[in-house]
This record gives sequence, C-alpha cells and structure tokens, in this order.
Amino acid sequence: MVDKIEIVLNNGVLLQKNIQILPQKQKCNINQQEYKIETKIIEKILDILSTWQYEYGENIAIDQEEFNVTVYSSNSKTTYHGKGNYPHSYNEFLRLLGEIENGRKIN
Amino acid sequence: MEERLIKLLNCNEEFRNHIQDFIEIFVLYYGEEEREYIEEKFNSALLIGYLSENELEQVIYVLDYIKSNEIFQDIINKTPLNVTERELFGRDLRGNYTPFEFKTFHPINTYGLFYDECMLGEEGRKQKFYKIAYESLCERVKDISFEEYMQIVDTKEIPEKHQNKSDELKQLILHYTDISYLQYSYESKKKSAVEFLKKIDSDSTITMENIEETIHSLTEVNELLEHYRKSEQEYKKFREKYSKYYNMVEYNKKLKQELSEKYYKDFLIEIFDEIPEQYRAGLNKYLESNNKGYLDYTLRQLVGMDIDSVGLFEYFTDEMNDKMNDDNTDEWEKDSIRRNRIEYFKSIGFNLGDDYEEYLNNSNIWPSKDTITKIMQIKKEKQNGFYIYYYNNMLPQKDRVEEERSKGFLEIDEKDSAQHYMHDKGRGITCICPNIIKEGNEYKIAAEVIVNFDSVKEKVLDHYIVHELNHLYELGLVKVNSEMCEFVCGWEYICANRKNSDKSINLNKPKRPYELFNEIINEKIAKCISEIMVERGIEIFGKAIEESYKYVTDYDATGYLVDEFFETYKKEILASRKNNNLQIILDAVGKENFDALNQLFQIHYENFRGLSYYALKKVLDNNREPEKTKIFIQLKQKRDEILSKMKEHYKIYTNNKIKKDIKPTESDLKASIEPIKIAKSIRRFNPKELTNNEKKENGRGEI
Repeated sequence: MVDKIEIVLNNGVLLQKNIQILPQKQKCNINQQEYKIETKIIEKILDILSTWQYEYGENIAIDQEEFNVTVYSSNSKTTYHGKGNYPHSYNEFLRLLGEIENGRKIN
Repeated sequence: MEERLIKLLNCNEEFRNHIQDFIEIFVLYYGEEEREYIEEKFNSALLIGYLSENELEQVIYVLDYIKSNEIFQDIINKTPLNVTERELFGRDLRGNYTPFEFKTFHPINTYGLFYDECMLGEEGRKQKFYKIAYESLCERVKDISFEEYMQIVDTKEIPEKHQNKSDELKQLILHYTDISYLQYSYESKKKSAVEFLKKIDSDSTITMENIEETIHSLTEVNELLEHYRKSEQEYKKFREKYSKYYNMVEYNKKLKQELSEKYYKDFLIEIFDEIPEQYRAGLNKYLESNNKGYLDYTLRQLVGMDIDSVGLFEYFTDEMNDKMNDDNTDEWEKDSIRRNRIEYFKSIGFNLGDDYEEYLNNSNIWPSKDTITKIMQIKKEKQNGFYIYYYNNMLPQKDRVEEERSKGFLEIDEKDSAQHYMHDKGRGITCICPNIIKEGNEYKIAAEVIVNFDSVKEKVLDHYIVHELNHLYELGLVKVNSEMCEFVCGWEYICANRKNSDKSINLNKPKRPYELFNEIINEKIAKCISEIMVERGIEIFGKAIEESYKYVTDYDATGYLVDEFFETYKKEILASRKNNNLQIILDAVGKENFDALNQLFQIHYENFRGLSYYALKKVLDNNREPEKTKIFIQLKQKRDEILSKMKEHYKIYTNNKIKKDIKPTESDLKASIEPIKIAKSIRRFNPKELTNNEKKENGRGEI
C-alpha cells in the first residue's frame, strides 16, 4: 500500500512544484495548498509511474527541468529521476498534476 | 499593463536589446577589467527569450480582454441609456465580458442581426436568403444555375437535368431551397431582440408583435448599435496590429492538432496487424474519416488515448518483466503492472476474472515479445517524430532552430532542441545549452541562453536572467576532439559525447559531482549581482520589488550551509569559477573539506528537497517532523566541523604561500582581483522584511 507520493519539479533556479500526495487521506498538497484528490487520479499516477525507468539521466544543458518522484510504501521507497531527459508519458503525467490543481481546494 | 504584455510578446527582441544593460551590471560586479570578456561572451551567445505555449495564449487573451474592455467602456460612456457591460456584451466562461473575438455571444450583436433583417423587409430577406443559400449549395453542386435554383424554389421539384444526382445531393438541393428555415431563423432573432430590449429597459413595451413597427423609433438603442459597430472596426485594427501573435497561437494549435493526429494515425496503421480483430472495423472507419468517434474506447486504452499516453500493452515490455522478476521492486508497482495486464487481457477478450494467477496459467493469451517490441518501437518512433517535428516547427521556435544553424553551432540535436520547449501546462524551461563553433581550425565555445518569460516569474525575472547569465560568464571550453567536447561551468565539468546519436542520454555516467554545489554558489553570486540592481534601482524586466529576488528558490534554503563558506572564501571562490580553476578553491580549503561540504548539500536535498526557505522554516519551527529536525541539527554540526577544518587548512595554505614565496600564477592573479564591493554582505533573515502573509507562514525563529 502506498503511503505517500512526493513529486518535486525544479525548473532551473526556480522550484516549480512541490507535491505531496497522501493516497489514504485522498489529499494532496501542491506548493503549500491542499487539494482533494480522487482515487482514480492517484491510481493513474501510479500506473504511469510503474511504466517509467528509475533513472533517465541528465542532459548536458545547465538548469534544465528536473523531476524527482518518490513513492513511499510500508517499508520502502521507489524513486524516479530525470533532468533534461523525460519519460515519453511525462506530458501525460503533468496533465494529471494539472487536473489536481484544477480540482477542489481544501480551505 | 498593456505595455508590459507587449513587452512579453516581444520578449525575444527585448532580451536581445537589453543585453547591454546586463553587461553593465556584470561589469559593475566583476570589475572593469572583465568588460571585454563579458562583452565578448554575452554578445556572442544566442539569446532566446520565449513564452511557453499556454502563456502566449494567455497573454493574447489578456491583451484582447483589455482592448475589448476599453472599447466596451467607451460604448457605455457614449450612450445616454442606463445599460451595463454585461447586458450588452454578456460574459465568457471565465466570467469576463465576452471579448470581440466572440461577438456572436454579444446580446447587442444579436439585436443588430435582427435590426438588419427587419430593415430588409420580407422580400429583401427572401432575396438575401436565396443568394446566400444558392452560393452555399454551389460549393457542393457545381452545375446548378441560379435560374434552375429559383425554379426549384417555386416548384419544389428537382428538374430533369439533375435527376441523375445521388439521393443525398437531391436532398441537399431541396434543403437549400426550403424557405421555412428563413422564417424560423428570423423569429428566433426577433425573440432575442425583444429579450435584449426588455433587459436593458424593464419598462419597455416592446413585444414580439410590435417590434417591427417600433424598431425605427428606438433611436437611442439604434445609435448604440451604430456606435458598437463602428467600435468593432477599432477592434479589427487592433487585431491586425497584433495579428502576428494571434496567427502564431492559431498556427501552433492547428499544427499540434494535425501532427498529433497524424502520428497517432501512422502508429495505428503500422500496428494494424497486431490490433485485435474486433476493433479493426472501427479503426478502418477512423482511418477513412478522421473521426476519432469510430475508435473503440477499449482500443484506445490498449494503444494509448493519444500519441503520448500510456497504452495497456506497455505493461508487457522487457522492462516491466524485469520489474516483476526483481525482488526489490515495490509491491505497489507490481500490483499496478498486474492490474493493467489483467485489464489488457480483458480488453482483448480474455476475461478470466481478477486473479492474476489465472492469466499466468494461460500462456497462450500472452502477447509475444516480438509483438510488444514491435509496437513499442513504432510508438517511440512516432512519439519522437511528433515531439521533434512539432516543437521544432511551432512558432516562434522554428525561427530559433534556424538561427542555431546559421550561427554554425556544431552540436545540434533535434530531440534536445525540442525538449527545451516541450512541456505542457504553461511550463517553460530556462537554461544554458553549451555548444561549439569552428572558426578556421579552432573550436570556440558557443552557447544558447534560453529564458522563459512567463509572467508567473515576473517579480524575479531580472534575477532569474542574472542567474543564467552568470552561468554563461563562467562557461568555458576545455577540450574538443572528434569523440567528445568538454565544458566547464564554474566548478562543473560537462562532457558531451559527439559520436553518440542520442547525445543527451547520460545514463552510464556518474552524476555531475559538484552540480548542486555549483548551482548554489552560482545562485549566491547571482544574488550579489541582483543586490546591486536593487540598490541602484535598476529594473529591466522585473518589477523593482526590493527583496523579491530573495528566498524564492529552494537553493535559498541551503543558506545555513553555504553562507559562511561563501562569505569567508569569496575571493578564492570567484577566482576558481572561471577558466577551469577549481583547484584554487580546493587548495585554499582542502579537497577533503570541500567534498565533505558538497556531501552536506546532497544530504540536505535528500531530506528537504523541494522545500522553499519558508516551508523549511515552518517544518523546523513547529518541529512537525522530529526526524527532519534531527537531521537538520546534525547537518549544522557537521557544517561547523567542516568550516573549522577549512579555517585550519586555510591558515596553512596562506602560510605556505608566504613561505614558499612562489611567484603568483595567472590563477593567483585572477584570485586577487576583488570584485567591486557594492554588494554588501549577504543580509541575514529579518522578519521585518517579510510581508504579512510570509509572517503568518513564517512563525518565529531563524534557520
């Protein structure tokens, strides 16, 4: 069972997104703002992640966008990383994160 | 506001036009003796300012909205009628007044349509209808004359000459000659006009029955309509003025849609034989008609909804098998793969329930390795095709790709170029891309400075650019041969493989060891330069909000690790960051100590990654996560130990230098060039500097 999904997207010097998803509470925190998140979106995120390699390496450019995704489950964690190189479904993944942000805010 | 938006639309030119301003600021920081070097470096780089796809669209929308509002206000001001913008122009989906671009939704426009038709009289309306309907019909039925058309109107019969046409065409002819549509359309406009008049004047006595007789006497409303129509011309002129950008948005949207469709279609055609029989009829219809509605939803789940979406067959690749066979793979990942595999089997018609074992026991239903490899290969090829073609041909990136070539850049990788711009959701990348050019027999460093101007970063845009330009200042070429080129940027070595067709993939190489440390120091230097700008009131793109450039990055959260080191060894740090001189700082503080400090940044990021300065303070102040607070305290202790060792080493280093009386090397000379000290010591965190919101977030205490 997944306890937490942490997603950090850095775009060069600026932090773009810092996301924590708590599947069991169906809550998500994006840059300090809490959102309600549906189970099917969490599942979809995990489904996409499970098709990813763990490491996509780095591009030679400086300050490229970097993604770090960590999935925490009972006693272990799985991480996915890339900087300047992205999985082919990266845009689909970003679209899902966008859906959360367009969804219901808590407070 | 309008001026700022136009500046954003022209950000590429603006960036280039203002490079001299940035040169002056860098000269202020690094000293007049560096002028020539800075000018050469900054002027020879390929500077690219751009807006991400979504931002370009948004800027156009806001610009359009501002202009429309200005016109609306003018219309309201000129009429003696007591009307509101909402009554005349309605609201769009975002709750704003509907801009002129969508004038068909303006209630005043609907009234105008009725007014025109009413003025024509019944006969006039009929003649107009026949003319328009005939012209539309001719697009499908080319051999029909107007006389023949009118004959059909009168007789409601198709003449002998056209009897051999298909039933569909004959129906179409009858449809276009049916005057009852005119009556329906006229009545519907009349109804809207009456509703509009009642809305703007609740005492109005206008009804469906009397509107035609009284419309002439509605002088004020009709003058309002006339003024509205004249204003539309003003809007058209405005559109014309910015047509380049409107066209750009349209062009990109169309191109993306077409290419995404094309590559998806090509993918389906090439894997046709692998698609289950039951979905092929629908697929054929889709291929003939372009209508995605013919594609079965389950088929789309199997192959992916779009060209860049994950399809169910992807859960059978070798990588997925490796994950399933690896004891270290987390159970959730295996679960996800199992679940999607079951979904796949059900989609192709083998529903054995939800027990994965059942499927494992039926090896005959599993897709072959060859099939999966083939599908994956084709999909990747089409995806790359789509990305490379779209992101290198969308506007204005298309011009930039051509510029790269005309500059003689030798290391051009289409996939790399595309990746700089490829992200959805309003994201845009800002980065430096090192490159080389050949002059005579000599290789020279070249670079692209790609800056995203999306307004979300407005407050810190100047600082953002300074950060990138400092990378450019520190960028140098170490070595080039036929196999690779090596760059140095500050303390970082970047090695590009020239022979590998996919240059960007760097999987087998260790992570750049000082990358993070290098970034943090670059940011510290950039902050000093931005401080000069703030002190002198210089603003180029950003709003001159003092302090706005501070505490915006998650590098700032590492201040507790780096500030003292930076301040104490600033001279050696700056000297070591140009021209591959890392040894200067290693000699000064000791390589072991330097590496130990480098290690602390890694630990910090492993534990506090993604936390901004304020977010980290919040975690620590409230002791929300005791484990993290413990790590933080340990990091601070470790930092003190390292700094103390560095101080000891530095003493020996300086004593040895004096003792040996070594003639200063070129590097030493450079090290002795003290940057102009306009940038005072880095200010410590001061709660008074915070806004109210930040104070709320901040709590108390200091990192």
